[in-house]
Amino acid sequence: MRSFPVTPDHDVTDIDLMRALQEGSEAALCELIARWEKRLLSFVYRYTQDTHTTQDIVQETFVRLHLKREQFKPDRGFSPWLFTIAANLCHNRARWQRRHPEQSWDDTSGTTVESPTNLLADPTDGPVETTIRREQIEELKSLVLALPHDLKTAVLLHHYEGLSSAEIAQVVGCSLRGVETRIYRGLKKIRAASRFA
Amino acid sequence: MASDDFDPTQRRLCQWRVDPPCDPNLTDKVLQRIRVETRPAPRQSPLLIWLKETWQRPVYVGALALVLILTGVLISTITHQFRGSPDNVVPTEDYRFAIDPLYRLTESGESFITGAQPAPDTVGDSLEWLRTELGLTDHQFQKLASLHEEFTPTFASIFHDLQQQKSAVEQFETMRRESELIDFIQVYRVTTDYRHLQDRASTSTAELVARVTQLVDAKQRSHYLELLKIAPEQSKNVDAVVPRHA
Repeated sequence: MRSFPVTPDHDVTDIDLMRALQEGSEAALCELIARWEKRLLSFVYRYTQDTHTTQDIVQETFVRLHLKREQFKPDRGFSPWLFTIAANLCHNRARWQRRHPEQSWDDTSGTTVESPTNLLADPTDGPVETTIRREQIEELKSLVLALPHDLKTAVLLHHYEGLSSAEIAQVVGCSLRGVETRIYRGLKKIRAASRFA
Repeated sequence: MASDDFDPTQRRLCQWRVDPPCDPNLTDKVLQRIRVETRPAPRQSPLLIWLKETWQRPVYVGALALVLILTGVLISTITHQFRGSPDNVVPTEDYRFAIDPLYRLTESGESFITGAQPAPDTVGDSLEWLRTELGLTDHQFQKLASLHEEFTPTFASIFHDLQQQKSAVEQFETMRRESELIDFIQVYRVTTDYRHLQDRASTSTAELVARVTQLVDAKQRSHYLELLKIAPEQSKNVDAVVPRHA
């Protein structure tokens, strides 16, 4: 693999880095990892809600990014392509999990990845409000986890990753209207099943 | 991040914040995985790959076995043809039995034990075979047929005498082994008679062969003499039978 000196530079777009990667630049891959690791971790963790699985999938996503680099088309944008790889890996892992139910996705490491600010949304909250908020978030997590793949992907990418409807449409593989429908149906399912709605 | 303060569900979505720890070795792990994934597989012979793939499919194994069997049969058939058709040997031998009493006596002794060979007194179908082999004209065939017919009684008689004389020699030999006395005059008489009969048989056969060669052209003659030598290991007398001048 060739090494191109790619220094952290905000003028260098992800598309530029992908072109450099297609030409064999290892440094371009390193820069893409540095740029996207955090966002991928957030998305994949919300999808799987398991730390080890999240780390495995993120690692695999960047490996696939390199192996499939020739298939990347700049005109379709980088983030939809990257999230498509990650979402497909999450989906595959979920299907494998359904076939092998003895292997749990539950995070048994004891490491919490929930942000402390979850509980500090409003500093004026008392202990009761904090407990209720914690219960609400735990319920939300379980409801999101139970969503079908395309609804979950659409909701997560829309609410947390800031992807446009067009970009989500590429990831999920549907029309713009289909994206709106999926987000609406996803939220409706969560609302309907929630005790706190 | 989408936010809607009036929708409790969306508000809660906004409140769900995660902070998964970054893996400080992620880049190294990814690069290591890529090197493993892109490492060229050990080269294998295309034949070996093909055999492995084939072996995993029973239908292919069956087909391969069938092909091998058919190939074996084909090779066997071809080599058999190159060795010469055995059908040629049997008519030649029949013919040799008919025209060579000495050969018939020598070979039929073993054949009678195994029952594998008939002992014809006449030329019979051998002449038809000879006609095809030599490409005889009708005229040549008629002459050859009458010539063989002329010799048939002689050969039958000589063969009969040879059998009796051989039997006499064997009886005398048995008797000589059992008693300590040897009648030298009798020994001389029996062996001499047997030798005379052998000479007579050889002469008669040689005469027939010589006359046959006079009735055919050079190419046919060459082929005819070749046919008489086709199984030399079965005929120890062939050199004696075929005249040297022929």
